[in-house]
Amino acid sequence: MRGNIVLLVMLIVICACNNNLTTIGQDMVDNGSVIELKKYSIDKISTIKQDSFPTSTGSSVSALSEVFIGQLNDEKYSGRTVVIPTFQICPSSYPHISNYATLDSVTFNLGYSGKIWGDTANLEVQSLKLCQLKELPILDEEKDHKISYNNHEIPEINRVLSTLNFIPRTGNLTDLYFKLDNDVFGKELFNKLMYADDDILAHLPWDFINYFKGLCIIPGDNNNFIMGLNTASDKTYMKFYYRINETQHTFTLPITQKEYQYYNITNTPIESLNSLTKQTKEVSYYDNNNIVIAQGMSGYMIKIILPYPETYEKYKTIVKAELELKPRIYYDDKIGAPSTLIAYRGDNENQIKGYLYNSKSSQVVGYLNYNQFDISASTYTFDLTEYYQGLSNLVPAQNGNEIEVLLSVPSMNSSYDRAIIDRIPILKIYYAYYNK
Amino acid sequence: MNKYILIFFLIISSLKGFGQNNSGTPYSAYGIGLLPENAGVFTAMGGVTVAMRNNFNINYYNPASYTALDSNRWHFQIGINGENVHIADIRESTNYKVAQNTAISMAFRIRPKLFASFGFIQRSDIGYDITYQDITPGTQSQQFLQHVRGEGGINEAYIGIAWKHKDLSLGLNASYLFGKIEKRQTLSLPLNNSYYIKTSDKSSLSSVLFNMGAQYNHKINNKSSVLFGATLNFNTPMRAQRTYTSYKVGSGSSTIIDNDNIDRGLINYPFRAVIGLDYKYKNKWSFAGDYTFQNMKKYKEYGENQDFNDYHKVALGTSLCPDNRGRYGWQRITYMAGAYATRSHIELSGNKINSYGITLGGKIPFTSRTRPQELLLGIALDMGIRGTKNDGLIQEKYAKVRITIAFKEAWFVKRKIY
Repeated sequence: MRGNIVLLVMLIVICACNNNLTTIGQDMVDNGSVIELKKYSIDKISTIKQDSFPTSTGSSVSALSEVFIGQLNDEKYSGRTVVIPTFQICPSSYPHISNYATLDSVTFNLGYSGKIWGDTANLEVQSLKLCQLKELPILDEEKDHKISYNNHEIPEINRVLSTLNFIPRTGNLTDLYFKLDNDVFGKELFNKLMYADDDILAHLPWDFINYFKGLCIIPGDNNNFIMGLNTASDKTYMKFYYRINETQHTFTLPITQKEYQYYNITNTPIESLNSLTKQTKEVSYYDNNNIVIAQGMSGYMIKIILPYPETYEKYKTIVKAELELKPRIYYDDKIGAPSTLIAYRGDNENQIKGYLYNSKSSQVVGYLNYNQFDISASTYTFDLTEYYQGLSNLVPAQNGNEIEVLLSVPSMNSSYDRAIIDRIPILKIYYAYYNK
Repeated sequence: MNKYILIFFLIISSLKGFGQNNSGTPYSAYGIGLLPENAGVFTAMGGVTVAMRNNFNINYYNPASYTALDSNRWHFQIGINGENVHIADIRESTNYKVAQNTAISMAFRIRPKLFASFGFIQRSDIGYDITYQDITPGTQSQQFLQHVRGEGGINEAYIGIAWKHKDLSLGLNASYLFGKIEKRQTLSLPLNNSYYIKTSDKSSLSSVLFNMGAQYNHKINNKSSVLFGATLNFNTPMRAQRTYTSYKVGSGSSTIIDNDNIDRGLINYPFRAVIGLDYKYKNKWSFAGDYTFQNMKKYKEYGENQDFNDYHKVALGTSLCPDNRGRYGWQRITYMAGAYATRSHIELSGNKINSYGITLGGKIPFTSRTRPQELLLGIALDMGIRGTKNDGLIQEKYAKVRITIAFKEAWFVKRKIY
């Protein structure tokens, strides 16, 4: 019996043996399996310019919450960009103003949306002109929902209603307004409202719009800023100040009719980009002082030609693919670099064919990795792993073909941000050879 | 009743031994794994095998030895190794523990001069787990990680017979070799949103192997005798079915890349021969030696030669049993010692992976005058070194304890009724 107990104890000791198989010896691994990086210099890179892009929502959805105004002369990269907004105003309800009212003044208030580009620290006095249109803008009935584009002309101006001079520093932009002449323009319009002129008020808003034609705001020739205007009814509006028996009253005409609310943008490029008269034209990196740019409002986009992945091989696959662009960033740039860049599929005529997707729900976006200690080391990185994995599985292989990709700032119509790429982008594809 | 409880525990523990990841050494990554360098009932004598025989232990490495067993007993035997290994390269070191080389066997006489045995043995072991990292080619400093793991090995179920004529015994083990070898890999790049690759390369093996043995006892005089032994098996192709699966794993998704059922192929279990002798003096002393050769140069996997070297092993051992019928227990114990040296089939970066060891141990009999069963406990300590630290390789210093428990029961003796 004693022997049996001894044996059992020994067996339990054996059964309790703890296998810890994690061992060293990595130098012994015959690592036929490796991951290898292949770098491709993307020297087929150029700047193109979009012919047009929407600057209104037309009649389809809610009105623009923001329009833009100003002029900015970017002498080194994108040239002069002028943005002129136009819109309609109209009483939001039938006016009930006593016939004993006396007009004191008329203003047009501007609601700052919070966006401004330009050197707000050193700007000199800038000017804006509030103008009344001679005609209603002609909408393009053939365009979906009568959407207007950046190249939609502003109708002829009837008269300048007021000029605003100001220094556009961020601290004083929240209280901007034009003071309008109330002897002629103000009194004429106020009387029609006060006496309920049926010619302009019988069928709102169209009788009023057909009478008034609309407004636009034109930047002065020496201006060097672009800012956003909040178009909400309590932010941007015409306002009448009047008295009845010494009691102060006001009446406002807010912005209305979204299809007539758009902004025209014109860009006069720098000399090296002068040839970009159509979207099919492009200026290569080398022909523009080793620079390509993508910028909102001015319409510039970056076109790159990416290579197809290597021919499919058994036991070889892509584990990572990323495109790296190095931007030129200035510490005190009056025009910021966007935090992201959007990638589109393009064609050989530089037309946008849709977003570039990694998968059905994963849009390819380039993120700015900002290096605050060495801004020249900042990069835009596009993760193209799934996109390239999909390409590598294509049968037959597409070697030799090229992939046209267009890069843009995220909101071409609502941002003046600018990405300057001054080094040749690098496409990095990590191939795994997992069973050599 | 006690014997059934004990047998139950023995079987459970041995099955656990079979089920373990049976090695921990990176050297087991090659071929069919690490060949057992020192296992069996004579581990304490340097692992000598072919010229060894006695009436208690089932020496399954030489089937001719079955004829030495008691003719009217049912023999049952189990053995297992517990191993503690200190493993080191020039930079770091660690330890691992495993249980391996489990063996279960039984033997009995079926005819006068004809004996039989059957059982399970582990032929080879694979078990390693290595993480490798290196600079990704094409980058300045970006590292990739490769995690390789291997599990499995070859087991053997054998049935053996042995026949004795005068001083000559001949034996044959017909073995069914079977097992799985799985080599897994994870290949990854520590970058955001990168995929990693998982692969599994599985081979299922099976074959019939014949191992022949002979022993011849030559009596020199009344006090001494010498016993010659030899075993061999011919080159045996094992049928192998290989499957290869790979996955690409991303954030929250996994995609099969390859799912290949590679056609059946062959993996060779090469020719192996062992010769040896055992000199006995006064029925107390024993001096034995073995030489093992395996033609691993001919080892092929799926038609591809793996460029191994031939395997060689030399083992020497001695034992002393003061008086196997002595009055005191210490007199009946067999004290054993030995040494061995192997030149394995593995050669890496010009370094032959050799191993050397010394062994100590003993066999302790447990007998009862009132009970029919007899029990022999064998304990062997094997301390050795395998490999080298040269050229980034590793050196292992191991201490193994092998426990062998042998029963014999008088199952074939009819009780006499007085």
